[in-house]
Formats: sequence, C-alpha cells, structure tokens
Amino acid sequence: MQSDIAATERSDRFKRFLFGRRPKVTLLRAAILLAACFVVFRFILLPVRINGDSMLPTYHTGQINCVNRLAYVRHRPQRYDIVSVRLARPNGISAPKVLYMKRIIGLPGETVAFHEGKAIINGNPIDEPYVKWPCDWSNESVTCGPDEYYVVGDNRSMTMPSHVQGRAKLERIVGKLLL
Amino acid sequence: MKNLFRLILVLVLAGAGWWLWTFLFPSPEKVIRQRMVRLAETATLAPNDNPIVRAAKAQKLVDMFSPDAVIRLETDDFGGRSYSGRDEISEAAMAGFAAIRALRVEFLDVSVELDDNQLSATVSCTARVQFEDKKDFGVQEMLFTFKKVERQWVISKVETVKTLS
Repeated sequence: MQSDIAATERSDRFKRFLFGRRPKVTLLRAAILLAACFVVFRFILLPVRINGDSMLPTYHTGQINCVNRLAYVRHRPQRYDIVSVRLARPNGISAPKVLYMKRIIGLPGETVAFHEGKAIINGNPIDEPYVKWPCDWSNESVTCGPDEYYVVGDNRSMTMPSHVQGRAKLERIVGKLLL
Repeated sequence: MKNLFRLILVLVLAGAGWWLWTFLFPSPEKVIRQRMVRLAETATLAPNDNPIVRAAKAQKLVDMFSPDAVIRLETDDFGGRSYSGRDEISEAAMAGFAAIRALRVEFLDVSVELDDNQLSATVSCTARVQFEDKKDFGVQEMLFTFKKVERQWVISKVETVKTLS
C-alpha cells in the first residue's frame, strides 16, 4: 500500500517535471516555440553549410553559418560585407537551396579592376586585410550598374578563371552572413 | 458522434478524390517538374553502368528534346558550346556518356512559369553537377524552355545563365 503511494508520488513528480504544474500551458508554450523556430530558421535566418575554397581562409568547407535575410531591409549592402547571392529563384517564399557566398568590394556606380593582385576601386587600391595569400590577378575594369555590387571571394591564390566573381544585382543578394 | 464520423468520412473521401484527380490529371507545372526530375535521373551515370545502359540513357535523354532543340552552354570550366537539333545532341550525349565514368546531376530551386497559351513554359533552376565520385560539385544557373508537342512536354531550348556578370 505504502509502496503504491510512493510509486504514484514519483510518477506525479516526474509528470510535473516534464509538463510543469499546468500541462496545457506548457504544451502551448512548446507549440509557440516550435512555430517561432520554424519561421525564424526557414525564412529569416537561413542555416547554411559552406562548400568550396573561394572564401578561404575566412570560411572553409564544412563550416556552418547563418544568413540574415533581414540584414538589408533598412539599409543597403556595404563594402566588405559577406553576402549570399542566389542563383535560380525558387517558387514561392522559400529560400534558395544553393547560394554563392562572396564578399562585396565594389558598390553601385564604382569601377572595379584587379591589377597585379590588388583590387582597384575607381582607380585607387583598397585595403583588404582578409586576403592572406599571394595573388597575381589582373583584368580589365568593369563598372557596376545602379543596383549592382561587385562580389569576390577572399581566396585570391586561386586562378582567376576558376574563381567565380562579378557583378551581382541587388535583388539576387539574399542576405548577410551572421557569423 | 454518428454525424462526426460521417463528416470525417466525407472529408476523407473528398481528400482521396482530390488526390486521385491530381494524380490522373496533373497540372502542366507538375508534369514539367516531373520531366525535370526524370532529366536529372537520366543524365546521372553510375560508375558501374555498362555501355549498353549508357547508350540507352543517352537515347532516353535525347528523346526528351524537340527535333529542333537548341542547347547553348557557357561555363567557366568548359567554355562556350552549342548544339542544334537532335542529331547533334545525340552525338554529344553518346560521346559524353562514354567518356565520363560517373556523373551526378540534380536540378534545384526549380521554378516553372507557364506562358499564357499554356503550350510553352520557362523553367529556371540551378544545376548541381558532381563528377567522378568527387566530393566537390559545380553549380550553374540554367534556363529551360519547354513546349507542348502532341500532348507531350519536350525541351526546345537550354541555356546557361550568368549569375555574376
């Protein structure tokens, strides 16, 4: 008899530990939390897994990060921001499954070129402390349109033809990397 | 209780009826999406696929194109290539399937836009290609044009899109 009472008390304590004193409120809170996580990680903060060498040494393959889709709601992308650029746009409001991860070095209206490994913006070299390895890139200058940003990876030791870079339209920039 | 059971039964039957309708009479968008999935599967080669299987896959791939189809590819890795008509596409497919040991093709972020006449459609997607069992993969934005020929959706044009200009 006493052992039955003890067992019932243990069971009640365990249920209280799991569901609290008011199980319905706990379940409601859990449902709200789940819905909030779904909305945040599906539409606002996109978890991404980086693949490729073009952003070395800043980011390497296998690293996990988040893209903040609300980063450019109130202001435009800035130079040196690391952004994600979409390729094809999927139907509806879901996030693209494939994104380029690149750094902005040229802003709208600016002329961008590379000369002996240095990035030249409007005729003047810019400081790029994140470029750690030697680079010998040289190319003709290109001018960014009113809504275009020049994006390039940090790994300039790659050959220029194998490094995806160029002007990205603002509407293709999905967001800014969070970490 | 009886009424609730009847209501649930009606809802289940309505749901099953709707599912059957969409299964037997799929929308053009659904059909085109299925064609894209089949295209990716046909273009995918396993390392142990023998020459007969590869030749059959190449033929199946070519049958998905219209007789006057055009393929225009411009990639950093392979430069600019263009194929016109089924014969050229067939030659290229046979040669490619014979030369490549393994290939994995996926079409992601597929977006289908039907034209007003419902006889043609534009599909934009990102192709993800993995060669020879390597871990690295390449991605390329693509644009497909489908047209309806004798109640079948076939590919009339394929072109690569330059994401970064």
